[in-house]
Amino acid sequence: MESDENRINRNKKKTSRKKMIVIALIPFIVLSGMLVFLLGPGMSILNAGIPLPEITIEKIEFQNDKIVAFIRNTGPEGVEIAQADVNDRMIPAAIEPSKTLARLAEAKVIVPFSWIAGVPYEVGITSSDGTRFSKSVEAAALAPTPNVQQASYFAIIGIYV
Amino acid sequence: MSKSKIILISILLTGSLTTAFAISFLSGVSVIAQNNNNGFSKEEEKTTTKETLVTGGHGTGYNTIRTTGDVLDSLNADERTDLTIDPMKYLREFNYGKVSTTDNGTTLREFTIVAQDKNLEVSPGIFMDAWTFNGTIPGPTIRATEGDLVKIKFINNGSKPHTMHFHGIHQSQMDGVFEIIAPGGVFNYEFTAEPFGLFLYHCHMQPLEEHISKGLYGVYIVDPKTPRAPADEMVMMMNGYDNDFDTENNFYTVNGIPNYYMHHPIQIEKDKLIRVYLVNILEFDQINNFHLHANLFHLYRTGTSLTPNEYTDTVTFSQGERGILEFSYKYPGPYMFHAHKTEFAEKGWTGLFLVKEDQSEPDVTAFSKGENAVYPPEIGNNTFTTQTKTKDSQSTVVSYGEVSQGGS
Repeated sequence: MESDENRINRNKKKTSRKKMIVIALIPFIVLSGMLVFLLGPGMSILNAGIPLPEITIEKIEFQNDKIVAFIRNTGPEGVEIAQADVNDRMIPAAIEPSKTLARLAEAKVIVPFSWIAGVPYEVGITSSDGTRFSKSVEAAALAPTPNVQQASYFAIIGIYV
Repeated sequence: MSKSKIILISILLTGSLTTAFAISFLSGVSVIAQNNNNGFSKEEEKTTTKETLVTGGHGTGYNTIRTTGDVLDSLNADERTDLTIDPMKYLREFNYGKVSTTDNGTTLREFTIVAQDKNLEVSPGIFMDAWTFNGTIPGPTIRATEGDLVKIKFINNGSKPHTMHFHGIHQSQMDGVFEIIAPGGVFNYEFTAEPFGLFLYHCHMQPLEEHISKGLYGVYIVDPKTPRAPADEMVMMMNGYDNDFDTENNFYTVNGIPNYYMHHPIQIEKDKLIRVYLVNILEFDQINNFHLHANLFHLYRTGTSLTPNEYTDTVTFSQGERGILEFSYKYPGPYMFHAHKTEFAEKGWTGLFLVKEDQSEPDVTAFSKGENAVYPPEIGNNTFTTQTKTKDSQSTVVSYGEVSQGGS
């Protein structure tokens, strides 16, 4: 005759084995659940699509007979700049240091242009696949350039402050 | 130390500190700008021996700049790496087909046209996944004489179904609309060339806008049985490219490359009759037009009459419209031709005729870059094109037709 104690122990063992099996199955259940989700409604997570180029025109400066645009490749891949335009009309320009921009690289686009103060302008940059990126300026104004005069103004202000 | 002395000293100290700070801050900005903006430090810049001079667009008022970087300029130079589209070759290339005579004495002209997908450089540095007839844009110019039997073996090697729809008079089943040629398929178009005139062909698959704007079109000329007067003949197909798929053209061209004839002027002879077969296939925009500088032309609308309709210097066509233009130049020199819709002109639809006194003048095939650049004598050595100059040369301010020297 089995003692009550033994029976209880055996039952305990049975329960712990069951528990172990259930715990072991959990990762498989989660995994299959994830597979069902990813291959079904969550397909868009796996399908990253085509990486699109992205150029950001960070700043536009109006200098004497020149428009200067500071650009950065903020896209996922390197790009080649093919063209610059002002108000969507193609115009010769220089790009420094290079028209080839690695990811996050920056460049300066210099356009010889007789701009008019107070007039709105849009500067566009076109990459080698023909995508155009643009930035508008509401009213063109001559960009301040650092010089001795400006430094002395600062000094005078400094003295009075 | 008295109180007033302390105040004076502190004012002086604050003033000099502020001045020092202001000067160091401003010079710091300039150095940062130097490094950030062109990647060359001042030292490096000094050692740079070659710089490129960049000139603004044609016309007066644009200055020039020098750069140590690259030049983006399709107006003055052709920097393409893929020269598949060849506007100079296309200009005077007429395809008469494989010629034979049928049993009843009719002239038979046989052509083979292959539709194929191709990635083409449609403007310097800009590439497009195009659909082409025989690998380029526009497709080949097909030419026959009124009454000839025209046979076209059309092979579709493209990835989409295509057709060839010819303008002109023919049977329904040869109209290239209902018989759709699947990828890998072949179709034989057969019709009599009639009437005489200037026509075009294009793919007629839906969506039509897509099949046309991607490049499936070409010119089809039917000559009258009594030939027109001898002339320097050329084809001009006005088209556009929508590179960013927003149903608006990014580029406008004549014969496939924006601004091509600005740096490769079309050379013609003074007093010689010029005949231009002008066709408009431009997608998306309602109209397109052609304006000839310093001259007028006789216009034969659709080319179906031997009597001109107009004597004018500008003609406007909607999509699919065309006309034959006849003119000759009285004076030598470079003359522009372009769309008088200035937006199109400034997006690439501009060109130059270079009228030469006679054939003995040197042949100018292109305005090339650099110090050995070739310029026609009429234009002179202005910066019509980008030039390479050394850094120590004087800066040049250039306007069209004259060169003036500015300070260094």
